[in-house]
Amino acid sequence: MTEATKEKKRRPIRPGRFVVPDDPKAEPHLVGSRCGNCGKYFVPPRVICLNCGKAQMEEVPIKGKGTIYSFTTVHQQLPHALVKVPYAIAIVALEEGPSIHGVITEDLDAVEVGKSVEVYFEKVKEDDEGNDLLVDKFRVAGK
Amino acid sequence: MANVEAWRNMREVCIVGIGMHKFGRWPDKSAGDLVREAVVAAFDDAGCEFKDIQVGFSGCVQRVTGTGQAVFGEVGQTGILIDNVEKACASSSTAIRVATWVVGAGLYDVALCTGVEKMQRGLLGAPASEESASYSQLMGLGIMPGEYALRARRHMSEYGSRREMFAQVAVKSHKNGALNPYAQYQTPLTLEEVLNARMIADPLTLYQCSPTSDGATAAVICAREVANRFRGKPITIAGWGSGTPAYSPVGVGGDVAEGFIYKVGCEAYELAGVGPEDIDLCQVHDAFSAGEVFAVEELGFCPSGEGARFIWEGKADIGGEKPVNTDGGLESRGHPMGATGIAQAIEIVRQLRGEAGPRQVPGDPKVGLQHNVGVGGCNVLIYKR
Repeated sequence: MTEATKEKKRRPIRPGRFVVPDDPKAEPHLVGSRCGNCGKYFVPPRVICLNCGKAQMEEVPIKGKGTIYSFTTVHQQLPHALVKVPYAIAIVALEEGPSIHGVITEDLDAVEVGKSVEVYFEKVKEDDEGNDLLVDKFRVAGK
Repeated sequence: MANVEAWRNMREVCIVGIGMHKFGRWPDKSAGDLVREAVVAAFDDAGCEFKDIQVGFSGCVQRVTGTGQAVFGEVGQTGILIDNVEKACASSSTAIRVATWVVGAGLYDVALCTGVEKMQRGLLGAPASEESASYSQLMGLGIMPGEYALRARRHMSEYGSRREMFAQVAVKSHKNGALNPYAQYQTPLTLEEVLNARMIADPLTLYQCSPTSDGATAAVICAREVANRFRGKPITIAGWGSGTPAYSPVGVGGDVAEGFIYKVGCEAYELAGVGPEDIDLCQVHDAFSAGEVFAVEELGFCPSGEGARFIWEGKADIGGEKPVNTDGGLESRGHPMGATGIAQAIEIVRQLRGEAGPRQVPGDPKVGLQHNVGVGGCNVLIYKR
């Protein structure tokens, strides 16, 4: 066995919302799609454009920067969720145009409508092969 | 938007019989037991028998397959067409709307609509295990009170509405529900009790979230021209609107999307030939207290942003300028999902007949509006005496 194959990998805990590059030094990123006809972005990715109806979508990375459109602090634990109360759910209006629901678990007192936030990726557990399983969260930017 | 002329060319359709099993927790009763009591009451109200029923629609959410056939079988088996209708919490208002279409079109003269649900306690949408949980569930994102809370927080930020104004919705609901013998909760709550209850999703506390419930409802629907066959006092289904939320890049989205109720309400007003000013009372979908605020604004009872203040100032009280959720709403009457749509219609029928007893809206109301939201859709129905 070579050194490389022994290396632990990083993976999203569920596929689809973000991509983890094989290069361990490269940052994961959220994924969306961009319409080749009208230029609009969609998160999560779409096959047909919801704006112009054309099927010319290209999957693209999403920077994960935006502002809080609204938020709520959740105090009722959803059974089997990995995120524990209290945590905030924020609707983040992304720089690319669409919005996304994201979780905030740190510095909840700083969360306000209009605040700039950015995505980050956090290991929550390991799978049976020892790979790191990641989730995405948001935090108030510039802290 | 439906073809208005085609709707106006349809026959007039009315509700001629209503029945309900008290909402609550009935662990020892089956769905069939609950529906049987509701249907017997509706038949008694209408003065009809099962042999008069030509077609049936059953609203149920958590146990769909064969429910209509099973629960109708409790009261009659004459070989009629029975369809199961599912639109989450708007299932049985959908049953009424579909029955209105088929009777209005002349395919049948008399229909029976039922709604039933038996529910577990706790948050809806919880996964069975971590392994089966979706990403959204693992992250605690996909919870219904959260969606209403997100729009409520936006409302507070944009319009300066305050948390006690949302709490006042629950105070009003429970005050009305205390006057309704069919309500799950018949105890008034003070503003302090609502505000000090356990927080679920800020600003919504426990008492601002509808309970899980067991219950059943039934309505006999017929063409107005045959209503004289029955003794029940007919109430006309004057118009309806329905749809799904349109895509918007930024906003709360989904069933709580900004502007969604407005769009569906406009269709219902157009088809009924009335406007917000003509509505004498309404039953709206207060699955969470903030939902009532969004509904009174988007249905045109007050300007955008003023819904919370409208309720806070008592304008939605029985005896106020626009009584809302006179039977206690989802929060106090209870919310057995499949039964809720018909329960809202039943309250409007009672009010328009002048049979609502201690919670009767004064001034001889003639027009009522129902707003019922389910995952993936919304129904607005307008009723006239």
